[in-house]
Amino acid sequence: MFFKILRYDIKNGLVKEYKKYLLAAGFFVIVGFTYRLFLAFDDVQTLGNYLLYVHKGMEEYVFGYLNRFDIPVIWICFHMLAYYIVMYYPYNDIDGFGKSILINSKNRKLWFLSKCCWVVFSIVLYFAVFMAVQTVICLIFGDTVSLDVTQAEMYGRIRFTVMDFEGYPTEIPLQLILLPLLVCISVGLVQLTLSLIIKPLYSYIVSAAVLIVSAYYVSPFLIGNYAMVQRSSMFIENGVSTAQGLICCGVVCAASVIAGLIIFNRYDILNKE
Amino acid sequence: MTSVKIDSVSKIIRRKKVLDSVSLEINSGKVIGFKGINGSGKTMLMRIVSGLIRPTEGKVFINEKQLHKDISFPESIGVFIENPAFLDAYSGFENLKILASIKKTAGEDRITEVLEQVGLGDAGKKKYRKYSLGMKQRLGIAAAVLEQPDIVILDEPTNSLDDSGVEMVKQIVLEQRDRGALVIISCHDAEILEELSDEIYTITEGRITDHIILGEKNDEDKDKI
Repeated sequence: MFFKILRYDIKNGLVKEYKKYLLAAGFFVIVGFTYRLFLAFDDVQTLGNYLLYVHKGMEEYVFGYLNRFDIPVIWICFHMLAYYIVMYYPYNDIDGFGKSILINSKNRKLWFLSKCCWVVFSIVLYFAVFMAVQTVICLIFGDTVSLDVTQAEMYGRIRFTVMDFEGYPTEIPLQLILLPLLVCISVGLVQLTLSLIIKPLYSYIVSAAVLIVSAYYVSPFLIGNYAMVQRSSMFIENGVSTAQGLICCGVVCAASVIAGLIIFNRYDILNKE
Repeated sequence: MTSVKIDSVSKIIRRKKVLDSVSLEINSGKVIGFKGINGSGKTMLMRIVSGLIRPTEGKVFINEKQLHKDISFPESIGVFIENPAFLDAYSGFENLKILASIKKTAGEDRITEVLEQVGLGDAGKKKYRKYSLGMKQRLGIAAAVLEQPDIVILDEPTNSLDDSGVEMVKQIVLEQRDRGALVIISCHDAEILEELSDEIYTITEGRITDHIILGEKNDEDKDKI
């Protein structure tokens, strides 16, 4: 039964929503070309450099009259586009055909779990499209398709405060792919659960607020920090560690799903109006 | 034998009591009509029976199993409430096929049969987005009776339908009753409701204010309580 509902969600919430992924691909093309043509520090590039450009986030903000808070626009846009893609489908589905699917399945838990899986698949696909576009741009410019980041990019892009930093950070592939993906999935699941209580647009605004506050403060309790390479304890003294990130994302995902199941079990399925 | 027992059910939405201590007990093989003006609570009561909404107070039992405690939804139910929603990109046939695929109780033959029954035989292949309001209504009714459920809920099924559509609804309702289903129907047209129903409940401001037993459609059997 669960796989039938999931298949329905994948078909209608993912395959039929391909235009949103084309929009995302367009954004990734602009970001990739802008980076490669105007912003790269090195002549020789790697795929890791492209990923670092998007996922570096921002350095720690220190409040002061002369310190301006510059929002990491590319980083925020990257995440917000993913949250936009997963914003409306579950809400529209329960108000439409999904209601009949739910009644036929006779199981609220399976219906909601299927929506959780749909969020995960949607975000994984979003990241896959991102990786594919960056890889193609890499190949167009004859760059190396490797997750290694070149020294020039590493030192030019990231401001180190860890004084004894030496050599190459081995956790960089996790910082460039796994943690941003897990953070994105976690916030996406929080957004899904919140949209059971408040309107999807408001839950989307909450997601944006989480990202902005994360950019403002370095804290292990602000999940957005784990998606910014520059906030890693590899590079800054009070940074967040990869292990903390994995635990935090695991806890947030589990809490969102459990809370969502409880809320949806008591959820009144009324028309939008 | 299917039984629905509604025990002192109240529902408060946005601080407004839309259902107030509603109690009734109904059994299969009957058509139960709900009468009342817009906003009286008919649709809310149907949503509660269908499991879409939880009562604020009171309990609903389907075959002695408590809804939202023992079961999330009635085990065998077909629902047509307000504007039916289907997937625009698929035909009527495909929409019903997706619904049927969840439980796998209805095959393609049954889908074709039910589409013909609601007058969408040829139009079944047409994309849903090209359907008129009446055709959408007919498809909604087809979806409700597709799997021959024990409980059939039809909320205003004659809306947007022409005379032939109304006749089709009458035929389907009686056919469902005759095969032993419990049909719960609401309709603004008092004549149609009286013609079809074995019992009629009048709902006013969330309360049951009248209950008429029409028996075998014989005026002598009318027993106003």
